[in-house]
Amino acid sequence: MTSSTARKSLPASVDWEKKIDDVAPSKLDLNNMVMNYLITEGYEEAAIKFAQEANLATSVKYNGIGERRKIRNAIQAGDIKSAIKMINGLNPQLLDTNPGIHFSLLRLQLIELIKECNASAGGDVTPAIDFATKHLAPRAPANKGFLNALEETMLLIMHQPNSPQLSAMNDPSVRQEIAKMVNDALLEADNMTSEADIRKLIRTRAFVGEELVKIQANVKINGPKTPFPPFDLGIDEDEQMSS
Amino acid sequence: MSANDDKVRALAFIEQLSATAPDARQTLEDVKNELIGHELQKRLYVELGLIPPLVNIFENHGDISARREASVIIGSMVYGDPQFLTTLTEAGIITKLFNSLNPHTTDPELLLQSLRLLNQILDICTPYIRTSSCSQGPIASSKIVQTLYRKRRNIRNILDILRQETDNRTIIHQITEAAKLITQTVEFADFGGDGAHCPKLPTEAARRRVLVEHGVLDALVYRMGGFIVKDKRDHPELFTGKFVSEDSKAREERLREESDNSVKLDGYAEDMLHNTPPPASPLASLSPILEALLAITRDSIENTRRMHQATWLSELAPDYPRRLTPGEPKLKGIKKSGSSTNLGLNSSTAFPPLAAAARIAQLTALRNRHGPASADSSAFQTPQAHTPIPRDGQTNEDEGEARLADFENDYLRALVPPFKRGSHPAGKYSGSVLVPWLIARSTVGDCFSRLAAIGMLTNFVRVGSTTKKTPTILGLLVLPTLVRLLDGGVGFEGGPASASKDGVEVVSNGINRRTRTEWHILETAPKILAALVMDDQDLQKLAIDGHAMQTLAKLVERGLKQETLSHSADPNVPLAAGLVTATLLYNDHKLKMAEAAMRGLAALAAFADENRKRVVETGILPSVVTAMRPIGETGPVEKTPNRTIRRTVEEMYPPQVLIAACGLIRSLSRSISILRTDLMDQNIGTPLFELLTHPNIDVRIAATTVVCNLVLDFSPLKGPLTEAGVVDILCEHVTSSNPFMRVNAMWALKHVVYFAEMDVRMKCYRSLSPQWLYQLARDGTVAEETQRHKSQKDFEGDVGMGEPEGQDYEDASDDDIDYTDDTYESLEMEEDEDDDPFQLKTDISPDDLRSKNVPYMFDFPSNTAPNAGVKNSSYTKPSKGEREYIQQQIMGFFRNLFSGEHMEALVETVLNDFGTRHFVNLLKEKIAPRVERPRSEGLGYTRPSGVTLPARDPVTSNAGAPGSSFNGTPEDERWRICFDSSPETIDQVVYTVVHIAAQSKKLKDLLVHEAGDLLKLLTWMIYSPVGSIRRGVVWVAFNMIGVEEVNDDITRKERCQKMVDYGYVRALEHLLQDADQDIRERTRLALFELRKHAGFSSHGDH
Repeated sequence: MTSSTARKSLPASVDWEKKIDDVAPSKLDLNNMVMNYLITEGYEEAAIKFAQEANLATSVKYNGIGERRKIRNAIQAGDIKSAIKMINGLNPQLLDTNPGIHFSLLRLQLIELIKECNASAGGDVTPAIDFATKHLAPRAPANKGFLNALEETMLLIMHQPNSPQLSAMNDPSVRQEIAKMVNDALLEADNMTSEADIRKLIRTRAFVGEELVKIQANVKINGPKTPFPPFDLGIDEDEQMSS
Repeated sequence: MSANDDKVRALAFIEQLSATAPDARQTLEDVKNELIGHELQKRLYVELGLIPPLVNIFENHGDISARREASVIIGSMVYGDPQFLTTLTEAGIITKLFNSLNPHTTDPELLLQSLRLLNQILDICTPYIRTSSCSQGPIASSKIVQTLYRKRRNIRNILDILRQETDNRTIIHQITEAAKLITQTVEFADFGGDGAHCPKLPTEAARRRVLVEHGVLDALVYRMGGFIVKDKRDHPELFTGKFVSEDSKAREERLREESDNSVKLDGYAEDMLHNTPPPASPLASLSPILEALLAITRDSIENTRRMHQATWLSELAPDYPRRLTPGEPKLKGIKKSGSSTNLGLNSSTAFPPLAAAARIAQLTALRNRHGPASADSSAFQTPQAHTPIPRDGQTNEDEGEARLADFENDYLRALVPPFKRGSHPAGKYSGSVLVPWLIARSTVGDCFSRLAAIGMLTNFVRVGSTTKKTPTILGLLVLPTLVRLLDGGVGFEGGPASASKDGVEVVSNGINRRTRTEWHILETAPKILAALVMDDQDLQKLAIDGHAMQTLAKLVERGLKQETLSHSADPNVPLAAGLVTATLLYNDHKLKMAEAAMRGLAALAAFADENRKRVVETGILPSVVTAMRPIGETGPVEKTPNRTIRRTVEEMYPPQVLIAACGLIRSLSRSISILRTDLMDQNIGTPLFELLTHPNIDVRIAATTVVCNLVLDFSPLKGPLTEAGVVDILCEHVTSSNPFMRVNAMWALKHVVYFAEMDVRMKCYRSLSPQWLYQLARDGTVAEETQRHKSQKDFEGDVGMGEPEGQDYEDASDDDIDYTDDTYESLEMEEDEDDDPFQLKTDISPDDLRSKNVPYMFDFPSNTAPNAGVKNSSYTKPSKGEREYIQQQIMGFFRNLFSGEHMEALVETVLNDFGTRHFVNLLKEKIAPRVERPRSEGLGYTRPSGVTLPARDPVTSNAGAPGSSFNGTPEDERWRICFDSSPETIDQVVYTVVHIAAQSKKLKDLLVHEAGDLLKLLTWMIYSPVGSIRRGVVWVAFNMIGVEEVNDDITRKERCQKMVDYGYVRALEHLLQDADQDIRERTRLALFELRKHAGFSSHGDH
């Protein structure tokens, strides 16, 4: 686009505000977006209630919302064994086709085992070593990342129960990350995006805002230079996708 | 737990399962959790005999949940070691899976799981995979294809699955999986080597026909219709041509009303042709449906026509088609559709709208401003390339954008003035009603459905169901999309970053959706690109300007690069679950990508020499040549071909890759300079020579098509190839039962004898044997072929061709579908361009082909032809019958055989072998004209070789000279002479005579005395629209006079007088007015000589 057209198309600040106000999004679209968020994030009951209250004509049964939630909770609680069972129940292909996720889950399980062993009276680590030998070791040679992760984890056996290394591994964020991986993979397999539409929209809006600021910086406008209003979306910092 | 404990546990489980206890479910669940993701455990359980009881439970158990669990375990096994699949196949799993596909009796979940399993097996058993451990793969997948297409019941079940009407998630997934199964089985290519694995596998054309006959195509169209209805409901602006700013409340009300009013169809719609389908469920995905439709309709006029039969189709999209043409500025609605705030929000991926429609609007504005005649390029600023939706906040400001901008800039320039396209039907037919919807669909949604929409649009262009303007629009919309997709895309899902990811990483992280998406783009887009630009030099240029060539070259390089994956780890440690499959799939993907990209390059280099040079400049030639050699051989190529080497399938890259490589080399070898330099440097002759004897016939055909170019007289490879024994191999090929093989081998032999040494010519001729040549030249077929046709005829009569739409399946017997040899079944008849392509009746029986009354029309079914990717330039003419093709090649063979000086001995040998009279009659037959009364406007069609006679030259029914008396026709009525042979064949015959006449005096005299009728017939050729044929007549006269021979006064005079008798003076006089100056001048000289030597100067014919 030439600079002349850019100048022409650049709205004055007031126009901009007015234009924003003029947009009247359809309530249906908004409701759908909320619904989409609830489903994607796994809030089953809320989704069902919301569908009823907003009178959304959705006869589709969103199977799996609750299961996904349960799986996520189990992983976050460190109950990897039941999580794997539930994953196999919901989507039997996932762990067969996604060795990365399976490895991560097994590693979490190993960490839990090590914790248990360390905490037990004798500190017998045999169950942990057996588990690692049987389930993790055969997978490691295929991938350097696996190998490193396994070695790191096995080092934990040497540490005391309250060592900083172990507590780092015990950090909830590790479980959370893997729980999200699993949730995304389950959603993807179900033909749904792992990202709620609303997040995408927010990102788009943030991007447009940035672009506009860039244009504004590059184009000289006659008259006082008013910056574009900030994009206050009323969402927590971490929810916004910063670029 | 020790290994021994594991074994005991496993044995206990298996024992429990073998007892078929009623409460097997819990045991199965335990086993499932033991096995999923655990390769070693799977191996242990299989060794201990898990599979037979498992399959038994899957088939027979009373508890449905137990059966489901069993199916899940079977699915997990399929993802493991390929050996498991063998065991499963031996246990009869495939039949059992098909037995659980009846939607009326089978549990929906179990049915879905069965469909998934079938697809999974096909996914994994692609013929690309050829490691020794999975030699069972092709067997399992061929068995699926066999079982599906040989039992009516199975096809009916698939149909019933597709017809289910529901919002139920399971059933929606069933429909998706059924569509995938159709796509995979239709496109399944058995490359095991001449069908050795499964000799009775129905051909692709036969499979497609079965699907059409049983209504599967209609059901798929109906399903697709659901998406149109849904789009129309949700985005009416797409269908009105202008954006309707609908009041949000009004829209809500309307939507609610519509959802209340929509009739819930129980069971399935009785008549999918007349009832508009209900809107598709939001959970349903469009791409599998489109892909299945494409698989059935690709390159088939008949099936594409059938696809448009539904009456509701035209009602759905009644009036917006023409709104999309660049000339009309009514595009706001479409423009809106590209914006992310509208459709984009609902689309599930970050696939950026291309805003291409917006570009049309810009273009229109430009046109209006400058007028179409303005070609001032400076007036066309590059339109702002669209801004991609940011992915994870990153912006794309790479050079790709700049290149893209160049591309688009050029594009605009090329479009004003618009393309000139002579080849598309003008007028009446307005194109498929689906085109506008598909165009809209190619800009929104996930990339699978976008690519499928683009693929379908490309197919419409190829089969001619588009308006004259559509290709231009497609060029504008689709080509940039494709090129951009290939380039890794700006913001496309997958993107270039992951494309360059290291294989180990991809494999060990599992093949997730993103990877699959990217693979799908890279494997599919180049093929669509190839199909789109194949016949169109403008589009080739535009694609190249968009840097498509470098991109494709990169894909070829990457795809053919040998990578050692996790296999390199300790071979004694079995790979973890998923890794085996993932590795196979990854290698498979790379080869598919290389194949597709090579096809794309071959299409780009189809016509222009400079494009061929560009391909060479990308530096991929060494990789391509390596791909044609046995796997693992990387050393220098032997200079001289070795005739003794015969390779096995396993030694070589997969057939598809070899075929694509041959296609590319063939495209390049059309350039003499490349042939003499770059291809010679690569010693292309050696690997190619080995491919000539490859076990797979399609590879042999592909290699033969390249050899055609390499044995031409100017090729430096002619000598080495001939010495290595190419003649023997070609002579063997020429007797093949495969028509493509015959034609191409004959073609190559024709080139071999051209300007060859006498002994080579004689060897070719002797190897072919006169009897064989005679028979084939006369009938275009050999005796065994006649039998073939016969059985085909019977077959047409027997197999449910007559079954009406919506046949009563309950009454239909559950018998096998019977296939006889269907080599010829995909013959399609093309008609005049002016006709509505959807009015055509296509399939013609071979018997019709044989009858003289039907002009030979033959379409090399491009899906089976070796040169599917690229057309030989000789193929671009309207297609002819196979018999016509082979006759043309044989006539060309004689022409080349006799060419050059001092070939008297050879000509005499041939005449002796055939008998002069027979040989002359053969030539006469090929050029004999027929006179035809003009038909009424509506019915008439112009034959390619038809000649409209000037009214003052009416025609007699006997083969006299032009201008003989003619009775009983009104002066103004124009009669036409028609030829049964194509102009190409006639050309070959004319020059065969020219070459004979150029030989010794003895032969000239022989011609004039024994071939008078032939010489007379030749004078008819002055009316030919083909310049070289008319010129040939002059050459015949010239050579017959024998100007250069000095001491020949007596016989020459006699000859010339005969020639005058045969009507040559009159004919030559006609040619004095020829449009071609060269012909006029030659004619003047010939006429002068003829008159001089005939002994009179101003006398016409007697």
